[in-house]
Amino acid sequence: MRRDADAIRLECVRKVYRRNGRSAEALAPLSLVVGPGEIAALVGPNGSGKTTALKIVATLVEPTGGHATVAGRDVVSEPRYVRRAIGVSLGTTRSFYWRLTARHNLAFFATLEAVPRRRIPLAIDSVADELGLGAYLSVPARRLSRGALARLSVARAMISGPRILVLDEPFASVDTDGRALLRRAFARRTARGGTVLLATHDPAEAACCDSVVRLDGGRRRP
Amino acid sequence: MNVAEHSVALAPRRSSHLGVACRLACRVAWAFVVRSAATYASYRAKLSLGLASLVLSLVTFSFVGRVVDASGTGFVERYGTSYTSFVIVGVIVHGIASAGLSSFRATVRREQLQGTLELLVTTRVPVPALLLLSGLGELAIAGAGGAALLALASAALDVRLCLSLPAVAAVGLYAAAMCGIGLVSAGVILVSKEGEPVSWAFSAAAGLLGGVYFPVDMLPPWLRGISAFLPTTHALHVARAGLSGHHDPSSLLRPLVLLGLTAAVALAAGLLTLKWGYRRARRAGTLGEY
Repeated sequence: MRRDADAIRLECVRKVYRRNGRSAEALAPLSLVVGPGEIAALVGPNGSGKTTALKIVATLVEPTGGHATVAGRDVVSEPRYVRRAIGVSLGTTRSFYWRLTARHNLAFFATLEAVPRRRIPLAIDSVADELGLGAYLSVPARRLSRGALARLSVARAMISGPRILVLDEPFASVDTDGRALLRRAFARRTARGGTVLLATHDPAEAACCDSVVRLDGGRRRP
Repeated sequence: MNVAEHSVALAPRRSSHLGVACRLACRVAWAFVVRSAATYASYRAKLSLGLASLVLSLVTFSFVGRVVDASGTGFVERYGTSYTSFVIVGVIVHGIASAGLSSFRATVRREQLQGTLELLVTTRVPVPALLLLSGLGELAIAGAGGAALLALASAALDVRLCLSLPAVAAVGLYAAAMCGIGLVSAGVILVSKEGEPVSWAFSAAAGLLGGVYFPVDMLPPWLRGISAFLPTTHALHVARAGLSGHHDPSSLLRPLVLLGLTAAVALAAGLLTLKWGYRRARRAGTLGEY
């Protein structure tokens, strides 16, 4: 892994969705740099291109143009290397195995993230303790509140200790105490050189970040 | 260990060693099997109904077997076995193959619907391996169901089957071939989301023309020609001959080679289609859509 690179770098990255013969520009050319130790926020109303930008960084969507690197690796040609450096949270109400407990969900994804088997219980207890999820670990995901699911989603992203967190609306449905826990967890990571890129439509949450990129209609606004 | 130490201990690292990759593949495969089994077992009604279906199908085969064997059609002489044994082997092999055919497509679809597909893709497991391993859970459940049916049949119906190497090889190769076609199907589903004709056609053809419920000799000559192209026909031929213990090993070589070739081609085609479907969905930004 290239450690001297910017954590996240987008250079004129754009995305055009083509469906049924029609084109829609979801993201106009966007450039941004997020360095190690920074929390950056993408802010904007629904449909402004925040999630598209995050998914490009998370290697889930290929950009139509431009160049994007994460931890010095190209998101299009080197997605496997990018995925080793990132932890991703994309949503809250879905994206879990409902019949399994919170602990089982975390353990499953920890295995896929190559966390050594003996370290998985410690990793789960550590992130659960940090995000106030200890009481929910033995509860099936289907019985958790939206706020708990939102924190569980972030816990899953952090389970392997990635250098870069890519989070879509991590504060959605989370109560005041939960938000404080999330902010503290992000601050701990950035203090150690980690990076957080999150999307939010809450200006108050964005104000706590080191840098803010405002998007509207797929375009960057001042 | 504090959070900082924990994070350093789990920091991303590059491991190119083959042994480490194999161990990780085994761990991931086991994680998928455990996840599927835990999910399946949590639906108690589904589990109970599945077990009840096993018993009911066994009773049905037993009665049909009595009728066929008493009708003097010469089953015992021609196949060296009772009709009950004949059809139970057919149903078990067809069931495992059907699981191979449908499990990958069904898993991809389910992951899309519950919103976990994109998160699986962002993990460290390479995408083709991930999708291949994710279907193993359902395959394992189908295998367990087949083993339970065989055990019940042996205990309750006096069905005597001897486990032979050619039979095991035939079932394994046939399942691998069907998994290959199942991967083609999963690749198509990544793009089309709903409506996938590949596995439907194979499953229907296997049930009708592959000799699952009746010998292919009973088909009209023109349909028998089509039947000869189906891996089901060859797999069942070897499985039945092997399990009944009445066979000439040299006569089983050709169908086993054919099954091996079919499995190799199908798996290669499946992985290529899966890669194509994944790339296309990623480019279109529709990986998580359903």
